[in-house]
Amino acid sequence: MNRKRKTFVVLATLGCLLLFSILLSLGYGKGLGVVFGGLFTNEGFGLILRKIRIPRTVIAFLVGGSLGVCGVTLQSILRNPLAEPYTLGIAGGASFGIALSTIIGLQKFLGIFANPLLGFGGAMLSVVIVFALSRKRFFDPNSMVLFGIVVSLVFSSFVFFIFSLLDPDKMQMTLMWLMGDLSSLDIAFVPAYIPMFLIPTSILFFFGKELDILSLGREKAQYLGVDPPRLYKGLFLLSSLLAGLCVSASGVIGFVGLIVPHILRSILGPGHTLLLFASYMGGAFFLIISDVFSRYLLYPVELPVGVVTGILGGFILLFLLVRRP
Amino acid sequence: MMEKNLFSANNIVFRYGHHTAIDDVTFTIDQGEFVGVIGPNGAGKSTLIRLLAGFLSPSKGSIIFSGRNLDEYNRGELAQNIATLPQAMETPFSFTVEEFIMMGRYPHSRKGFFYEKKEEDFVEDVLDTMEISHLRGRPIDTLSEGERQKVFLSQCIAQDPQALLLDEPVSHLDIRHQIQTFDVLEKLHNEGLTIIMVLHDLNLASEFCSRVMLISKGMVMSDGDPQSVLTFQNIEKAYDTVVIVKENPLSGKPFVVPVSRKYLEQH
Repeated sequence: MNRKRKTFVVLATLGCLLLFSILLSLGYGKGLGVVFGGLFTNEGFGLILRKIRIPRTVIAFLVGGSLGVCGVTLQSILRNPLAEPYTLGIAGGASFGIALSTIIGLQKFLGIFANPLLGFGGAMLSVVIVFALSRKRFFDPNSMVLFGIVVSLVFSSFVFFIFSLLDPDKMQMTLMWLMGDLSSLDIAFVPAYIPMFLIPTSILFFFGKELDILSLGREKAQYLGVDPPRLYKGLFLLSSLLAGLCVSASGVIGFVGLIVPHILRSILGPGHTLLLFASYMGGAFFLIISDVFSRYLLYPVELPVGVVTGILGGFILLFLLVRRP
Repeated sequence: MMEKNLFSANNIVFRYGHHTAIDDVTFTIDQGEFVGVIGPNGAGKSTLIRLLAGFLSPSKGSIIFSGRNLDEYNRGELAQNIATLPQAMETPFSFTVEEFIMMGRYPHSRKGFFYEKKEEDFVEDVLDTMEISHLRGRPIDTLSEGERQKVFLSQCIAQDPQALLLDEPVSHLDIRHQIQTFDVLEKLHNEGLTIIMVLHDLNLASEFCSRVMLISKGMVMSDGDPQSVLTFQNIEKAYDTVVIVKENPLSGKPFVVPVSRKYLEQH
């Protein structure tokens, strides 16, 4: 069948692109042989691989893929192809957490734990607020978006308030993180992050059929046999948890969760089971390749990866929107 | 054949805040009936459909479906037995016709990433019955209004329900597509499906429904076969509009003609 073949081609292409980006990220400037050789030595390039490139590529993979999956989920539930992982105020809350930790000097006490912990805490705080506000409305998607936007704005204002009190040099670090940055996470976190990312993601993979149905709106979805309020709650919670993890690992990386599902939906069609898988691969690819750009575009200066995804993603999205009939 | 009681509504009341949309209504609907629910705007027709579909729960009274209270069914069981087409339906993503109809198999299918082969076969049969096999690969947002309505209906049929509830399924269709839709519904009805539909066109109700329920101000004003319900007295009282009721020369069913005020003033 034509459609099945197309699906296969798209998935195979994504797989190849992903593999290519991983090899590029690991072995930029070196040959394939050096990369494989490096895996088995503990000095020179092997050390760079083990201590820097592999952990960083793993985090880019996990964050990129999760942002893709979150984007698909939220776009479907909110019935809005332009929703993204941060729509529910997660970015605002996380930024607030980090800014707070900077001003009260929490880094001194918590060390490397400060940013991931406070980022995640802030993200979850915003989610809890949005949830508490949405309860009376039975987790109606439209009111959740509105609450999310307002909560995010309030938190952002607090962030600027804190910035206005901060030392410029202290601000630098927080600012980097706010722009989305894969370089500042301590590699000690990576092994712990792997299951924390993979568990919620794999649960989301099982809800493709339900996401198809939820996109038809609450009333029709109920007539087709799902329980919309319960699903909204569960899926929002899972995707918020994932988005919060992403922000805690690497700051606010924009556009991945927006354009990856958008592009793949226009190629594969809206069926969510496939779209979830494809967006995981696509998101991982997009973030890894953006990270390669961020490292080597202005070498030796390293750009925050969020700037690269923002510029790259922004232009792609503009192009797609203008071209759309 | 013994007629089986499918729905029975016992003294149901439904309130939105202070507004009473359904006010102490009692009726039963037997298996195999084709019921047209008519009445002026705001009379409570859509609310009634949503109550029967289990989307809303009555503030008072109870609705029994097939021997059990509607509240006792879980969503999945309900979707296996009752298919409902709401008045407005959102389709933000362009699913193909086939994918869209496949969603109707959800309540019967097993949990998993994809639908099984036997579900695909079922959808194939639905496409055949509804004569839309040629549309299978088309994205739903490229269809005409008439085709879309057929596809929406096909999704309900794919649920393989005992009862089909429809809220104004033909109001925005031209007469050709209206009649086509009714022909399909009549065929399904003849195969044993119970159909309850809200509609605005009194003449279509008269022509196709075996039973007409006239709702006014949240109450059942008249209920019975088209001849007994569609009298000029009933209609004038419910709609506050003067009408002439004639007989359709082909079917012998009542035929309602609204009368404009300019003719009233002449007489």
